[in-house]
Amino acid sequence: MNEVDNAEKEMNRGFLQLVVLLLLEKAMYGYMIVRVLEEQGLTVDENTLYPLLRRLEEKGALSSRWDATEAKARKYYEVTDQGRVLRGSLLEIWVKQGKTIQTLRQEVRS
Amino acid sequence: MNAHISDFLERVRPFLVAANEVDVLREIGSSVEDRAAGMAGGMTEENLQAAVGAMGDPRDVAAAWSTARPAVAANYRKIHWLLAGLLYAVTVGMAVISAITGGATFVGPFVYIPSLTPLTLLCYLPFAFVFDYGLASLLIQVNERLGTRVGVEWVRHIAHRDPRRGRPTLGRVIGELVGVAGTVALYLLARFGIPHVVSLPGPMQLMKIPFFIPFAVCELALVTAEFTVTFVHYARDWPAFAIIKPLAGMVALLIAATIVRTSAQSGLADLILRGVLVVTVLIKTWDLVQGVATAFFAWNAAPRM
Repeated sequence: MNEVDNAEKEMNRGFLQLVVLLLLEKAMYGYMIVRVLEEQGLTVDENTLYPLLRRLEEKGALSSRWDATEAKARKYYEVTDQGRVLRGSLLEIWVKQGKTIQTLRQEVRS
Repeated sequence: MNAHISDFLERVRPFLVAANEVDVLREIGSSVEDRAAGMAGGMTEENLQAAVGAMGDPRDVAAAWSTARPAVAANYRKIHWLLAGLLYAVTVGMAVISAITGGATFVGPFVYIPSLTPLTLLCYLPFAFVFDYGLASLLIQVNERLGTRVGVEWVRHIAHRDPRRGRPTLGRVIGELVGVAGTVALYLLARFGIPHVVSLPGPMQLMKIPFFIPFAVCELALVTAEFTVTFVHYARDWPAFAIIKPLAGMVALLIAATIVRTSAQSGLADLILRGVLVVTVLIKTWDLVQGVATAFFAWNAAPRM
């Protein structure tokens, strides 16, 4: 794994948390999230995504339920009110960071 | 659930530490099935096998999915060794005292050893360290659970801060040698009763005290071990000597006390000699505790900028 891959992985940690909180306004199961994110051009390792879902659930940001109505049981996750508050805070940070990067890039150009 | 998945989950579980293991395993199994179902051809045997293979090493999967905190956090690894070293100093000290007093060894990790022989001693010393290492782990874990952080400030007060206590001078090496010579004379006096041989008059009843020879042997073992380490330390500077010197002395003392073990006597002189040796051990135990602390801070000193 090269340096860019390493940096991407580190940057994705916080980013993925925000993405998941945005995406799970509608209940989804783990593999469905992987597929949706892949369609959006974001490849996610399952061993990273699932533990993240569980951590967010432990924090109360997500709720989950097992659905066995189909041929096989699946665990569906959905964002909670607490998760929405967290999402708002993370979005603020993300916007602030974006502005900082923008400013720094402009300074570099000039 | 498919046999490939069950087999994979069985290999994950021994390394998995989570509050709800069954739920985690179900979800891993479900994600593998989903991955296989998403492959061309659906959930065939080959696809399930490939999906399991794509999950990677079961140990890595378990590590990624584990939610519980490890027994000892990564930032406590050095503290773990420090605590184990401090506990070991006390354990060895207690074992020496037990051997000297002629009683049974009533120290960890063994609850009770009726008689510490040289052979059991060989097993005892490393086993005691393993025990103390585990005990240190437990102490850190309990402390963390109680919501307090393990600090090192209290250990800093124990460590020698005087730089002159570092590498020994030639004078100190000679001093240690004189100590050995003096103890050899004491041993000879005890063993062969030289004053009697040269027909010296006076109250030379010391040799009649049953514990006098064991006392002299123990002292001789202690000073010889300390002289040897001081001599090597003089040739080469290394922070570990702060631990090695008192530990070597203690181990030599323990070996000697084990070999020359005599049953407890009731005589006052005998009792005094045992008492002197026990006090010596307590001082050496404290030296070892200080040595562990000193070496720890020497190894973890701030880098020169």
